[in-house]
Amino acid sequence: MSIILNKYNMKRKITLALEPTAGTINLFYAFINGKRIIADEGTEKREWKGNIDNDEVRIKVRVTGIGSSKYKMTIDLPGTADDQKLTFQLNGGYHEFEIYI
Amino acid sequence: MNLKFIFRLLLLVLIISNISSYAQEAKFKIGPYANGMTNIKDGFFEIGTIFHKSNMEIKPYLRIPISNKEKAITQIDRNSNTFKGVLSYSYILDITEETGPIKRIFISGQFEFGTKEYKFYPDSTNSSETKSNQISFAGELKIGCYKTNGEEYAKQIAPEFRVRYSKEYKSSDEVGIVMNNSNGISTVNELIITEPDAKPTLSPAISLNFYSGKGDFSYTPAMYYNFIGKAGENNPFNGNSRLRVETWVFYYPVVSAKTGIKIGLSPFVSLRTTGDDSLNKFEYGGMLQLLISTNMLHFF
Repeated sequence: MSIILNKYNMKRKITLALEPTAGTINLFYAFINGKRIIADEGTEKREWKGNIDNDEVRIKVRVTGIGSSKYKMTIDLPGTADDQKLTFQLNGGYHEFEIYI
Repeated sequence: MNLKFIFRLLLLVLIISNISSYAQEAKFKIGPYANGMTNIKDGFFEIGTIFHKSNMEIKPYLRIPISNKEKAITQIDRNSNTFKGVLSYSYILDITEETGPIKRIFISGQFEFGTKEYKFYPDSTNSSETKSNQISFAGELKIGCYKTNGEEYAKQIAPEFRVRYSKEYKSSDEVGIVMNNSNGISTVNELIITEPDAKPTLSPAISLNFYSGKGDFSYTPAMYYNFIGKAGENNPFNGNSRLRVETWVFYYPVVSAKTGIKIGLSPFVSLRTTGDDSLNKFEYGGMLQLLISTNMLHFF
């Protein structure tokens, strides 16, 4: 019983942000375990705050834009780890990646 | 092609041609879902608020005329010297998934409303000053979509359709009135002697934003058809009409100081297709746009 409670009740808070840093970003998308959490224009910083399972989750990001524009992804897991900041560059107007946390 | 070259080229164009379009937008955060917005575009200063969620946007703002562009041929359906309140609503339907094509559709509606007091002198004398308050308004509907395969070097397209109906009051032209005083000296007094009037305008337009997936340029051919009715009436189909074609090239410099910079250049041709107006049957010229904090999804 305790294991089941742990599985369904223990959650981690997370803040995921995508932000243009150079050039022109058309659209930002982010998915957690296949569920879309961000789908918005890349004209400014887009952010999602929520809870995720304690189990490992898969985050996928897809970004479209112009040429070799750049964007920054920030993941904040309060109390668990320092903010993780990663900067990426589009290639031919597109970039995607997956991470597991 | 380097940035300095582009700016030099645009400076040259500014010098040698009659540039008729300019835009600069800035946004600043004022809350979790709200941004302040200022925009300078086509002779108007806009200030207001944007309430934004990923699938909708509401934008109440004020539009203040800052220059007299009444004669600008590229602004037939936007000419206004009235301080107006504008309310726009956009809905976005996005069906993009983790894999596969990236697709979204948006629908946007906008209503504009304003009043202005006009003075005129029906008896051609200063003592006959008459004031008239007139209401100007416009409505606009936009539908657009965006599609790309979601791969490196994939083509990106964003077609848009827009239709706009407007009824904008404008003061009549001044005329020279010859005044003779008691000393036998004649002077000319410039006065507006007739009431302001408004012509209804209906302007459907289409555009196709296209990015090849290579380089820093996108291309947007656009076509407008303006139906202009007779003064004092609501029907836009009983006056004259003009067809205008633009072919924009947009350059997106990759600079980190400011993102979403878009510099556009286009020639245009305008052809009067029915009726008569104060312009030549065939007109042509150039247009320049500088946009900040934008992307290639929207044209109108």
